[in-house]
Amino acid sequence: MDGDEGEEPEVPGTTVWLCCDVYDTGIGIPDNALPTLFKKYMQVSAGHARQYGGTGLGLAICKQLVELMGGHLTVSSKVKCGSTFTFVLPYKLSSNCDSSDDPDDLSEMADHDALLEDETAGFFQFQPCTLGSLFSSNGSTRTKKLLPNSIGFSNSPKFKVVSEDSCSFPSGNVRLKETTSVEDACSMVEVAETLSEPESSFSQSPDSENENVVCRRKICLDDTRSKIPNGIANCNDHTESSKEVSGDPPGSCKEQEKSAISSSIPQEPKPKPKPKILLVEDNKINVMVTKSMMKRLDHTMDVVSNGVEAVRAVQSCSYDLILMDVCMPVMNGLQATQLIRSFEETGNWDAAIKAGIEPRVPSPASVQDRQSSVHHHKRIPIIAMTANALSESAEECYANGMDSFVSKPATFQKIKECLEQYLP
Amino acid sequence: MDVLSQLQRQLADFLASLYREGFVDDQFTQLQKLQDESSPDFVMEVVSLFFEDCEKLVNNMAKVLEQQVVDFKQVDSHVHQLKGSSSSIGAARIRNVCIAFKTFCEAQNREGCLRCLQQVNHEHAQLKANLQSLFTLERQIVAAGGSVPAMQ
Repeated sequence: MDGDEGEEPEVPGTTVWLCCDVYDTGIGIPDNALPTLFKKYMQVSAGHARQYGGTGLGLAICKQLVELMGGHLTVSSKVKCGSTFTFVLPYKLSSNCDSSDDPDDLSEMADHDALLEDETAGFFQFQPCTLGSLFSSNGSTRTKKLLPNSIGFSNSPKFKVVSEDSCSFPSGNVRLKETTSVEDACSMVEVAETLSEPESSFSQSPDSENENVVCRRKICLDDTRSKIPNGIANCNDHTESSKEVSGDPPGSCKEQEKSAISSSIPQEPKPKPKPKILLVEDNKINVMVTKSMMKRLDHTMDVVSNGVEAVRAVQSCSYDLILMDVCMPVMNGLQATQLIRSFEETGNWDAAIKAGIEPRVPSPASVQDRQSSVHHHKRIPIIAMTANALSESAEECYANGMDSFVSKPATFQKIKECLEQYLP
Repeated sequence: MDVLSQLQRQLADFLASLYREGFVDDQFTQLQKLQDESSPDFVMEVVSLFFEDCEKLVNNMAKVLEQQVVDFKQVDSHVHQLKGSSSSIGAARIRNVCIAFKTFCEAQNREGCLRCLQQVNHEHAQLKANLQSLFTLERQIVAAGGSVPAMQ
């Protein structure tokens, strides 16, 4: 995952670009809506506004924030597939870096809270931009609160913001930048090239749950929202609005480290994240056979052996697909599915607690845990593995919240079709 | 005909007979297809695990059926396990016995259950012997410089 070994050590004090993709697998945005997408009060259509609500301010705010920080925000989308919003931000590297330029050391440094306190740590470099009319003109205290949130989630990397003069928002002299042509927004490559920065050797910990990930991360939003949520009543109270704009990090989030970007923002093909699959099956032989079939299809699986363990697995991890045996000891697949669906609908695990499954204490380092305990998950496809017994009828499976079923024994073809249907 | 060709012919015929006589079914073919360079002994490993599991289940069922008062639910759950695993590896005859076995459990028929248990034992022994012959033939072919033919 880490592609930074062997790169030239960067000169401290230079500016690099950080690039962030925020994508979803939602309804997508049609081409004709793209040019006006970032304009205030614009939504894809009146129909969208009616159905999804919102005020049409979210993207406009995001764009302004990013541009105020000297960056660019762009979008690419495919209808019915989803959208990817990409922003790039210039970041000035620390000028007082006493550690080696070894990428591993750098990522360790990023972990230390000391970095936050260090006044000479790297900071986001802002061009003296103008504020839009959406923001009130208060000074630097708001700056500190505003910026870390606007970059990502409150749990996200602790980018240090130094309240130097170059960073503060200018008060007064407000001029709203209205021009928002798509070509302009998308000219990332041009912008990057004008900077001509050396490659950043920022690297990231291989642990995908390390919240101190710097550089390119893929953040997946809930697929019921095709854009960053908004709903800002009062434009003047921009601290709150910025929190909303930064996106309640909803949904099951997958974090994926990407290699640091080079000076010319590459249009490289993004490696697809491996889908997380959970197999809930108590029979060892079935597990062995199913696992082998999955391996053939180039997938790995987590395996648990009863409904309780399945619930626990879902509590601690975000899965893309669950293969659920129906008859199991301790707790069967039907009940486990019920509990998972209850969580997806209510956002809490009360039903599971009632059923006797004690909630797991989320580990502090796990961003996913925190997100899963606060926000709704998107619906995980759950496929019943039925033995065709009377107690495992299709109706019963559907009634308990399963999406489909595969009759046992599992064959290669059945598994393949299942994956094709339910994995993006 | 040289030794290798003879062995290969033997293997093909033997395998065909196992299918014909219902010892194994299509699912066994699935297992064979899952065997490759990265898991060259996959079939043997799964099958060995199955036989171990089968023996354990049979012993448990025997114990339960010996009791004064038979807990048929317990027997049924063991049969369910056995039915599942035999089905997974394509051990067709054993699976079929399990289907009948289940009916006797539901009817709480001890005699019927005991008969089925005997049948399971019998089928288990036969299949074990057959598959061991199969694996021996395969080993001989590989030793003679050949490769195990893909299933028809």
